[in-house]
Amino acid sequence: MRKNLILILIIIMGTILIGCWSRRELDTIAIISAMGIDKSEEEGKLSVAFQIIKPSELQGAIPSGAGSASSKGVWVLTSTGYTIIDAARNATMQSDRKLFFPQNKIVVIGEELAREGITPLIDFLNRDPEPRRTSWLLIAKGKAHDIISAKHEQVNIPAEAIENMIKSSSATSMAVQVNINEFLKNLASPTSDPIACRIEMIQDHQNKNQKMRLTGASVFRKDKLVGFLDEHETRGLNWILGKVVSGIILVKSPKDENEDVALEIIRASSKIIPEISDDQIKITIEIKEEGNLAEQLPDIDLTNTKTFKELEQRKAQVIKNEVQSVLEKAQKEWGADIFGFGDAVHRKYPKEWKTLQTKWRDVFPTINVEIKVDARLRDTGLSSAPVKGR
Amino acid sequence: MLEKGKISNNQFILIFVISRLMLTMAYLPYVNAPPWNQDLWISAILAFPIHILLVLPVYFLTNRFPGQSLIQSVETILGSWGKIIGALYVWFFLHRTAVILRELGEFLKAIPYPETPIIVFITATALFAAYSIYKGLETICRVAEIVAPLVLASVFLVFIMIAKDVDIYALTPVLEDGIIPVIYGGFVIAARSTLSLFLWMLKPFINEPEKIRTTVVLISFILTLHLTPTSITTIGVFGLEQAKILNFPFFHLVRMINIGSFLERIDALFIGFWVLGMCIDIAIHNYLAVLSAAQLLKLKDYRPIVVAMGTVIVSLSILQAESVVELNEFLSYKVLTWYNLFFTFALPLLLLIVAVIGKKRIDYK
Repeated sequence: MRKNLILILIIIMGTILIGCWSRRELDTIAIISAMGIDKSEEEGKLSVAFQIIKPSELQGAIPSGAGSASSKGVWVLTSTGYTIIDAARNATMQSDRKLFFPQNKIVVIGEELAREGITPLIDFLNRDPEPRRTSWLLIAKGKAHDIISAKHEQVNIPAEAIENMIKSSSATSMAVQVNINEFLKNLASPTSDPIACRIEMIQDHQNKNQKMRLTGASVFRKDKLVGFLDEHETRGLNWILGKVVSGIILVKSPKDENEDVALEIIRASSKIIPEISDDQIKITIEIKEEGNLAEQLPDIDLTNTKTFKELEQRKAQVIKNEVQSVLEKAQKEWGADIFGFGDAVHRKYPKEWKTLQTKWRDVFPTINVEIKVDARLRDTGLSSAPVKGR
Repeated sequence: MLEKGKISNNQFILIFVISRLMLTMAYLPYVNAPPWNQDLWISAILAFPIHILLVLPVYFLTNRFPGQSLIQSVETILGSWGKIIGALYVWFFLHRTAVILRELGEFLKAIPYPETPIIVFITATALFAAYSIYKGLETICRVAEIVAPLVLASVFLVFIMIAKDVDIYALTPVLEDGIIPVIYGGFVIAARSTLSLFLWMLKPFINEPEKIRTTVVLISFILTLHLTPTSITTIGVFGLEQAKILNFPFFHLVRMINIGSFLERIDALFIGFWVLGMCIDIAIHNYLAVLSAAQLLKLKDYRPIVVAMGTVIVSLSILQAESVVELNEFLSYKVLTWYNLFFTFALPLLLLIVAVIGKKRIDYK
């Protein structure tokens, strides 16, 4: 009797507890690697492009092989709906499988749509259990569909290429690395405005193809896109945020104003120091930078203390100009606090902040910002003087 | 005696820590309670002394009535009127088990199994709990002894792995709104714990009751040691405003882990550990409900009522709230703090006063 009971129990448990209720086998899901959201031509509708991985194309393919560029590892499916999830479900009518979001790496939003505000779009990414908050958020200058359907020569899955472009952008510090979590954090913060990556299609002159390229950053005011930063302005932003990792600064040679000298950034850091006196807010940005001489156009020996000092000064000026240009745009023109000045004031003056908070939008453009740059040049690389032809 | 088993002090620590940790890990309700700002971690530290303070009435009661559990000492104090208070406590344990069961179900339904009916998880876990109660207190505690180190170690690992993403500046300014809301926050955190009732029910089975003071302090210490980094990392990674919105902040935290792009997507593992811990949490709460009911009815053995109680708990956990929104309303600090406090602190304090006035005590043999 007892044994039978146990047996029955095991059978019941075996059928109930196997945990495969909502299981989905690999051949029944369409794995999405990237999605792009645009305004649809129909009024009030969204048009969403899903980049779906084709596992069969990837099987045994040699990624770097000559033929691989022609065979696409992905299929782009476009669907429309009133919301993202609506569009995703509508897509099932064209796809033989149900869309699967957890592997999604890239979210691209079209410029036109982003200008109208993206909070309604982001909600799905935050609420649904499938998408990850670590997906990168990009704003396309132009249409998001073009980015999603673009090919990449090196890899079969273009989304991977975009992800690697973002990750390796620290080599120039001329793009920003913003994922959904970062964006939401800044969006929800009462003080600061969010930024996102910027991507666009550029014309390749040699073979008339269009290519994807990260071209700076996109700036939001609340959840509405207000404008784009170009590459140097973006580095200006990164200087302020202390996110510059590496990069090249070009300055004119002190010996010959027509020649360029390339200086490599080795490390950089920044500090935002707010100060309130007589109801006037002043913000000092202190930037420290250290670098090496990376490349110079030949024939002039720059390696003496005097020219080194001169180079340092010129470098500091370049950094200052970059910072100035982004301040000009974001602070004066758009009034978007993407620098975290509000947070800095909040931290140092919590009491004053209580009254400042409500009028921060009006105060922010009028703040006086001082930029202090301490740029150093340390090394000359492997050679001291340039090679001279006699 | 109904329960013949004995548990060690360490087992008591582990079983309580597990039963406290699991819900905090999934829901982290404190972000939406006072102090409502980045000072939550200070509240977590302050909760340590407050927690011990809230246990004091029960501590004195258990000293006054050694060897007697909650139900028995209430009857010693109040006579047959004690049955009513005892019944209240049976209800409390019953209801708490139902709430925890429901929370387990809601979590599993929200994230890994959105299409599965919630009753599947609830019934399966209740069956597990019923089985472990049949095996007795010792078994539950031994399983806790195996699972707790696993869970604690994995939580500790999560803290280390997420550390690089924590923006420590999100915690400033410190004490923005003064110290009062922070103390209130610490009070809310401490009030959610039911340590005093665990102590009251289980002290007769602890093999070194004279060391109970150290045990209680250790428990509060471990809980603080867990909650402080949890609040720091959650607010540091998501920012305060996001942390308030997220339903399961700690789970999202685990999802954010990405080390060198090879150690990532470990959230499934986390769910595994979490379910393990939750099973023990539910088993021990269910056990307390069954044991208190058996003591109240003066049964010779509690096993016959296990299935009956289990059925009540399963139905209660489904019926108590229509939706997750309704459940959260009950679990918000405005309701649960005071509901809990009535049972864990106010009622024992009252009983203690009655016992002192009535000069009721049991002398050591």
